[in-house]
Amino acid sequence: MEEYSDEELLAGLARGDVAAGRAFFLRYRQKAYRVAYRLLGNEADALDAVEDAFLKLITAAAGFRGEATAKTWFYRILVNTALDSRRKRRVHASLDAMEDDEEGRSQAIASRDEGPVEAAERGEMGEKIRQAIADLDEKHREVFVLAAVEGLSYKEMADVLEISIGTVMSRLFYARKYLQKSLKGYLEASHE
Amino acid sequence: MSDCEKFEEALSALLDGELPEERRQEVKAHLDSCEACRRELAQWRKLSEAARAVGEPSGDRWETIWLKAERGLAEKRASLRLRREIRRAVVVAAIAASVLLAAFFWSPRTPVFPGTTVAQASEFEVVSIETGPGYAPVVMMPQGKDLPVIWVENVQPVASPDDRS
Repeated sequence: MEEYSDEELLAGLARGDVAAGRAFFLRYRQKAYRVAYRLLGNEADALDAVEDAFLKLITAAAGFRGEATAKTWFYRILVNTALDSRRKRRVHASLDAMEDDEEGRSQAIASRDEGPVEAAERGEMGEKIRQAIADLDEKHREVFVLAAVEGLSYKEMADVLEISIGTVMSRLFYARKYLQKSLKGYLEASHE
Repeated sequence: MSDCEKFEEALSALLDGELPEERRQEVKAHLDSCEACRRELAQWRKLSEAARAVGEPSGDRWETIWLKAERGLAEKRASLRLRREIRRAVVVAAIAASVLLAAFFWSPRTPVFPGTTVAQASEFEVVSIETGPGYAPVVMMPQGKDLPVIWVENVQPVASPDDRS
């Protein structure tokens, strides 16, 4: 199935073809996870978002009309799913905060969110990078993640996010400047 | 605006391989002579590398996700099969309905006079009725026309009380 294009695999998915579905899943699962992880900042939520995105893809595959590529179409589903789950989580977190003691709640969230990937990163500068990316506002974070993490072209990002190429360029530039400033110490130390 | 500020956004595009050729030469010429911009580009490159450094998720979560996806695919196949069967049933029902409708409209109904209808039949005037053993010819004349229609009814002879004995 490796020789099949994304579009051919998506057509197979629309028919419920298991081999095509498996091939698409294997091709995109780690890429999808990387994007979701950088958008959401933790392993558990990233995996939930990847799972939801694949299930949505199966349901929606028959609606693919080829206006975009299968790859940008899938990333659009993934980014929207991840950001929706983040918004929902925020609503739940603020509802929890009304009921729980603030300190206890923070501890509970920290222990729930932290997986081995985060644990591995803790000893390095990874945590600072994770935090800096998480601190970016949504519209700059999504552009930076798709460009820097997945290497999507400006045209592909414009398709995924439904914005112009000019907007992609300016958001990406802003995100880089922001992160460069946030991680000044780390970047200068590692550059020397 | 300093020289470097003019090139900053272009540096970002250069890093992503999105700068047009003519502009690329210009930016590269600037980079050759500007240590600050070279450092900036190196830091952005480092940022991207660090952002890409995301390991595989722990445990067997991929298999759990795939099992759910496989179930989703099975449901999809079942739903497509059901849709196909419904479509086939609708087509069969439509054909059957068409045949029934055709039979209803094309079959001769009550008036048996060729080229007449029930309404026209009521306009006939009965001229005479005769009865005989096993038949009853009826002569009818269309109103205002000189064309008699003879209708022969096959009747069963009724046995008289005398015959029974």
